[in-house]
Amino acid sequence: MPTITRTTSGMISPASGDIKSSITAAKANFVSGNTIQAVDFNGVMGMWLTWNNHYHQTSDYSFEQFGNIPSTGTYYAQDPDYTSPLGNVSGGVDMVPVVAGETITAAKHEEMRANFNSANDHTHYWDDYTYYGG
Amino acid sequence: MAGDNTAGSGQSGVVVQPKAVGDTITPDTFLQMLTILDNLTDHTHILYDDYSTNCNCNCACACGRGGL
Repeated sequence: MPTITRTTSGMISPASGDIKSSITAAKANFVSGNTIQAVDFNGVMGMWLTWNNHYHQTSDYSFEQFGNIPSTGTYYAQDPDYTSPLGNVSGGVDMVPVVAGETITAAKHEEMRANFNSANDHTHYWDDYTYYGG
Repeated sequence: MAGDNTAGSGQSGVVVQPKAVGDTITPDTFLQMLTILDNLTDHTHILYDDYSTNCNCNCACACGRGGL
């Protein structure tokens, strides 16, 4: 079966540029020596949940007809097609926000660590159409 | 239609280190978390798009072998 190697679009929902500005703002809240505020801590969780929804666009050829009869050389394509959201990444666990005055425990840190580290080298699921009509 | 996975996004270059009970949690660990996302905001993925082919031919050979 023939194969085309493709590169997806950048992030969609959130778009790369949109979340980059939010991340930059969130990073400014964490200064060495400062107390970690609950609102800022929860903001990091929220940043993950937003980032975790992203997906990508691609094209998906499924069928090529060739020969000498009219309408040859056509492709049936899903264009655009989309990957799944990042969603259930390996190692990801639910995170529960904190309230002001609550201690950030090692267990809470580990919940977050598992999610954020899982972004490294993550993949997405997608449906590859490989025959006419499907 | 076949389920498939894209290739990986690549690494951010940052890995958040674990904390054990009794460890102090400082702002830098959250900066590391955010830096992972920051470094991956422009990522894309490679994927391999399989497709089938069909020959739609009606070959009418007019070579006339042996004819005059």
